[in-house]
Amino acid sequence: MEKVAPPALFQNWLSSHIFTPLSGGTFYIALVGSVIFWCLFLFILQSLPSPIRRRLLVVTTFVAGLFYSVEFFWPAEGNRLTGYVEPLGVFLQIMGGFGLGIGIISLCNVHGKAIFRRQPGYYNSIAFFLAFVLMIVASFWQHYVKPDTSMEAVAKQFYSFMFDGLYVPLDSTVFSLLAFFIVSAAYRAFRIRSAEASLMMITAFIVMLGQVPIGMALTNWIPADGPLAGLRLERLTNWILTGLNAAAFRAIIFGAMVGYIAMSLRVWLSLEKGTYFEKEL
Amino acid sequence: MEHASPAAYVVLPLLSAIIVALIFRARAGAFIFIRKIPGIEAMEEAVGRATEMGRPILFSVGLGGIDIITLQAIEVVGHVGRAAARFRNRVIVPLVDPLAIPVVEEVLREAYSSQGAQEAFRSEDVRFLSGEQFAYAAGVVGIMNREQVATSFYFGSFAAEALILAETGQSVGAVQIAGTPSALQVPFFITTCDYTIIGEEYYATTAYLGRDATLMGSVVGQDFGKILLFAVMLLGVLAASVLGPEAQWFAEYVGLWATGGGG
Repeated sequence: MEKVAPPALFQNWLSSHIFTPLSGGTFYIALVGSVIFWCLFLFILQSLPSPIRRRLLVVTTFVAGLFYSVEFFWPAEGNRLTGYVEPLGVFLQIMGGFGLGIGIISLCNVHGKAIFRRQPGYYNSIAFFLAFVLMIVASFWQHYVKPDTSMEAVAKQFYSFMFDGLYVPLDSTVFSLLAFFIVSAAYRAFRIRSAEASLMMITAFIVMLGQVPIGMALTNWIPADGPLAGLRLERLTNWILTGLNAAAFRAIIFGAMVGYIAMSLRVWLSLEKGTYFEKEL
Repeated sequence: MEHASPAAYVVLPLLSAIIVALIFRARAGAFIFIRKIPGIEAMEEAVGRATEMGRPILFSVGLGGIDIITLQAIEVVGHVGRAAARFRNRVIVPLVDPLAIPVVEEVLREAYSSQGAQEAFRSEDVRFLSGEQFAYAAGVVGIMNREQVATSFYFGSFAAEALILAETGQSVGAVQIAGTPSALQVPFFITTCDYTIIGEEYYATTAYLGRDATLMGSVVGQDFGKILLFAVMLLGVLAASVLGPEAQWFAEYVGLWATGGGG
């Protein structure tokens, strides 16, 4: 049975005093107030001297990392931090929402310049703006159209045409290109140029044969419970995949995970050096 | 929510302590050796080749958001940017996460400024394409074909689009260097790229390029961590081999220790 964590520290108090749903005039006052607060906060942050800003960044990074570490190591039973994990996730999602705005500005900037300067292929940028506007219109229209009216069916059909009729097939088309690329990549990889390439070719040949009925049929004359049973193609394939392949695969994952821990530690403890981390703030 | 298993209480702090201790040892001036990684050695040469051909460089930081893997990739963008700036060449960075735009833009601007080549930096070369995997892939493929890139770098988290990108790079004749901790994509990169940086080498890239004591110490710490894990695995193999079916209690105990009894 899954253990249920108790309410996080001060969570009940925060829910009843700070994070209460607002409506009417109070909502708008709170909205304007929070905008003013964050503008002021950013202004103060920008005016701070560089070393103080850097220290603030170091402390914030450490506290954020400490929160998740303590939450992870605190046993589930009686964990008084788990309750904050979800609200923090929502906070990060909201931050991501702001990122979308940055993305739209970037897209409009790149494609706007291409049209304005009549760069080669600028008509692709016109297609981008057209698709962008049409998709926005389709989404908002089907969302806000009055229900149970004749326009509702039109709006939903228009959205379906744009999303299911255009976007989904285009996405699948790009995905299906993989099939062709796999063939050309396999051709290059399996050309017998060296001992390693030959070994890979032979291994791939065995694995492919071992996966299909005709391949299995080639060796089904070997008794399944005899001493040579391991030479049956399906058994050989299974051994290559679960023995050789899995071992190499796990070794890569182990190495990568230890590297991940090291890099996370460097970022958390602000020990990371390099272009972005040593930048004068 | 996932919480630490008994094994995590021992292994994670121990690994962290080893890594941090070796970082401080390296900072104190201890000699650190890192073996040659051909993919990283070839980076400068690949940038030079693009300049000779008068064609731009493409750098994809993969599908990840602003996380540890992407931060490492952005660090490499800085190094490639500095090399490109020396030759007054362009680095095109298509992005999947709009939050990365200001970060990458800043890193590249600084890289160009550090080489006195501010005028060669074009902010529109850092561009958001799409948050969707295959729309992003289609966008990158388009850029590669239109710009006829001479060198492509793929650093970060990749999924099924890895082969689409790398095969297109092959078709336009680009020199390609990939680095990813995404184990499933490693075979595709090895097949299509000239150099592939795999597994923990990915996290050693900046240490290798920058030769900074902190980073070098951390790489050695990683290696000690791996030796520790390897010793645990060896113990398991020995127990299973020597004790045979008798070792079932051992396997059950280790399983219980690693998962916290299924919790």
